[in-house]
Amino acid sequence: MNESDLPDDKLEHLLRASAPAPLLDDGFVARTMTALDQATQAMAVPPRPAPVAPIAIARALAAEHRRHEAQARLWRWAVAGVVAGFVLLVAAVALSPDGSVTIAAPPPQQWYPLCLLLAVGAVWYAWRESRRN
Amino acid sequence: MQFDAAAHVEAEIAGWLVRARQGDRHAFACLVRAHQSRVRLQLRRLTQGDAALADDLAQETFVQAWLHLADFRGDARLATWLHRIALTRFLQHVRRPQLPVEWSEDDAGTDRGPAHDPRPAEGLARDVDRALQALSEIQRLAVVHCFHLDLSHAEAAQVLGLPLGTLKSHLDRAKTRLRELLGAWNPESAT
Repeated sequence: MNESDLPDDKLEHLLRASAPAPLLDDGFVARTMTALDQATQAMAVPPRPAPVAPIAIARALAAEHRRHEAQARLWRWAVAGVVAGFVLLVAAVALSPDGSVTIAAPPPQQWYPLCLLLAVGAVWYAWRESRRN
Repeated sequence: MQFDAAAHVEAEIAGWLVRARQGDRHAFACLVRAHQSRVRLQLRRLTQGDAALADDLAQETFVQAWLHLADFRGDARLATWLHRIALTRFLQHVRRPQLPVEWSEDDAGTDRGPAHDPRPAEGLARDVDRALQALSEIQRLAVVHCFHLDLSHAEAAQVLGLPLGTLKSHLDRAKTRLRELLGAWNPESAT
């Protein structure tokens, strides 16, 4: 060490004395807390949906089962109607005096009430199905 | 009296820390206010005086600290922990795994941009700043952490991720160089 060199304690004193002045807040804390809120929100896990209770699952399954039963019943009645109509036709032919049957289609005007009835029935059925879903 | 004041501040910080760990944002804001200056100064030194970048990194440092407050075991001072997070954030930003521990001739005396000191360059501060530029990065950071940020050698070693002996060795070399460079500030040499 030269004579002109600083002694250790003097050097340390100089280094400490040359430390920069403390920085003022200047809104840093407010900006940091805003960033902190954003980070916290970004990391927040979305709430999990509540687990479905077993009784609710059982009710849903029962309702589904009832709907299937009703559809099957409707199908069975439709098939029975077709079969009954065919049987009625055969019986009518068999019971006719000359053993024959004459089928005559009515004029178109006479079909209108039936078409209207079928249309109303279809709309009602569609409305009922939409309400059910 | 000075000791009492320091102890009072430490006790206050400990109280805020306990409340912040329970989720008290106001207490954490108090911690940020108490530590913002030293963390920003450290980062300004690391970023070679880029105040905007230093403030961004300081903000990220405090956000990280808030998110991982539960991991702070209290083995070290909160300031030491924050300085360590700040250094890690800086290294992540510059995509470097760690500080260059070894001395490199290329590392010293290069143009490092404006001085980080927000004050106008005064005699002593200016001369010390120039002298620091003549040191290697790790030596400069050792000096800054020990004398400007007022950390103990053990704390500075912890922040910089160095063994204590290595830090002391860097400090000794830095002081040897600084003694030569700041010789003009020796009042005895003027006589």
